Amino acid sequence: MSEQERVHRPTLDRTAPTRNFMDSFVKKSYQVCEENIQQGMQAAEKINPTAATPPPGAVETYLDFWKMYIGYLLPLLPGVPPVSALFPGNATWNRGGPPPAVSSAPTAANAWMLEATAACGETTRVVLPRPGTSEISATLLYPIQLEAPPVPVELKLTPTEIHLRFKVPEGQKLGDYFGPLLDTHQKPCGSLTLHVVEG
Amino acid sequence: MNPSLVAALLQEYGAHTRDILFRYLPKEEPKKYLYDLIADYPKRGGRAMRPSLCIATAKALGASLEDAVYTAVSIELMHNAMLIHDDIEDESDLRRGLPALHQKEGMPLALNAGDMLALLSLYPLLENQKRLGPALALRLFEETARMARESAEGQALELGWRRDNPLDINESDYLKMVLKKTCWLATIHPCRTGALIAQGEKAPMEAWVRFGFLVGAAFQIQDDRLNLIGDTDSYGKEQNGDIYEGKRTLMLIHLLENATDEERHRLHRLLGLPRNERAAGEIAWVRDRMDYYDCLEYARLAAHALAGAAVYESKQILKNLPNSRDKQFLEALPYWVIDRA
Repeated sequence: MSEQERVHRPTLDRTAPTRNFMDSFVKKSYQVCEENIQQGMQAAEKINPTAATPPPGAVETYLDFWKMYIGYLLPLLPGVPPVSALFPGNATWNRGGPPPAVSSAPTAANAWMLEATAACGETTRVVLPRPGTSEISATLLYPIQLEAPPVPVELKLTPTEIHLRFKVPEGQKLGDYFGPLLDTHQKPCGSLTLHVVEG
Repeated sequence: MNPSLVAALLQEYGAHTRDILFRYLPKEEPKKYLYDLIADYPKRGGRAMRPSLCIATAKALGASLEDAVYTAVSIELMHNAMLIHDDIEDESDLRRGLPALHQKEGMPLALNAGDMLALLSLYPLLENQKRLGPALALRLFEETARMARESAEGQALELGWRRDNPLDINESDYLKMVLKKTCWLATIHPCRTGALIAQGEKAPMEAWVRFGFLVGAAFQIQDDRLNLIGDTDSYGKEQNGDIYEGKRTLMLIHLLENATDEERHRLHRLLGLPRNERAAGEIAWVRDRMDYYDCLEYARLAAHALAGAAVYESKQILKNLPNSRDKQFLEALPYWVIDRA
């Protein structure tokens, strides 16, 4: 029987309009798909319950990071001793300050802690002496106790200096911003604090 | 979108895959009873959509063809193994325009050849160890195990429905079955392994399940439509074969939902018969009722809806990637699956 000869029902009056049908069909499809994804995750967890736990060393890395973070926050509280007293061997310096004597391979116990000040609505360049030859990087600084977007930072290294460039947008909230310094393995090896002040 | 690009890449990556695939097929004895049989389906050609999708995904994300091709070969071998078993389970007459393997060689030898091909599909994955390292190679093994499990579950659902002949299968049941039976091997697994090869554990694996499912389900629905309207010579299977086999396609589900009580009763009785007892006149009647209730148009709309959602998902996954032939291939694939005849 040819296509022309076939008997067709005159109208699609038993079905919803085309668009509604397509929307509903896609919705059902997504539901089925999400169920399958959930089932797969549950099955994977049964087979390999350790997959959800961090890889070896990760816990220590994150603890080190938070140790540094707390090391920064505590001095902000009245009556708390300076960072150098909390973590002996830590080096902190800021723009214009004297270069510290830090190890070329910093660890959590003697991590790099950089600090700088930048004006709101301006681009600020800061040059610090580079202690040792370790490679470090940083990309974003997050607000501390502020509701604000992060501040981007460009970090470049020369053989003897660390060049920091902060482009603080107009209207950025004044206050302190903080982010990790990462080593070549993308592990935290220190912190960078930025004080955003009025331009 | 450029459908000719899809065809060109399928041909190019299919040729690369087959080139290596045949190296994994033993050429020793017993040829007549085993090794000639396992080479039969791969020699018949095919679209090579599955291995091409693996290679294109990996390349779009920055890996090389050489990184992905062994996994692609594994996928194609597993696909051919499953085709042999599917043809037996479905009692199919034709595959790629020629008699199905069990029709040519008998069921016991065909079954054994399918087992052998499935086993051989693991060998190329061992090659990954040298090229991609042991951790990623093992991860790709795990993915293959997941795919095999999902496929077997989907096939079990379909075969179970045909044995027990339930009348209350709905659209969601059908989509679940297609997700497992078709999509995991045809599209989800190739995309996920390609992404893993390129990006390792950073790959957004769930997003690839969504894209793979949507494009794979559109592919299956179009395939089922072609079974009713396609030309046997180009489609490669017998026309109306799915009705003979009692497959729960979207068209059949729509027919069961819309038929009168009398028609539903007649359908139920017909679907309860063994395949060889389903008379040609009854099959023609089912086909006629499908036309009457616009089942093909309904399925066409469903395939188009899924393809549209797949295009959306592809844009989400690929938006930050540089333009490339492989990226264009992934974006154009949903259009290709619903346009092919």
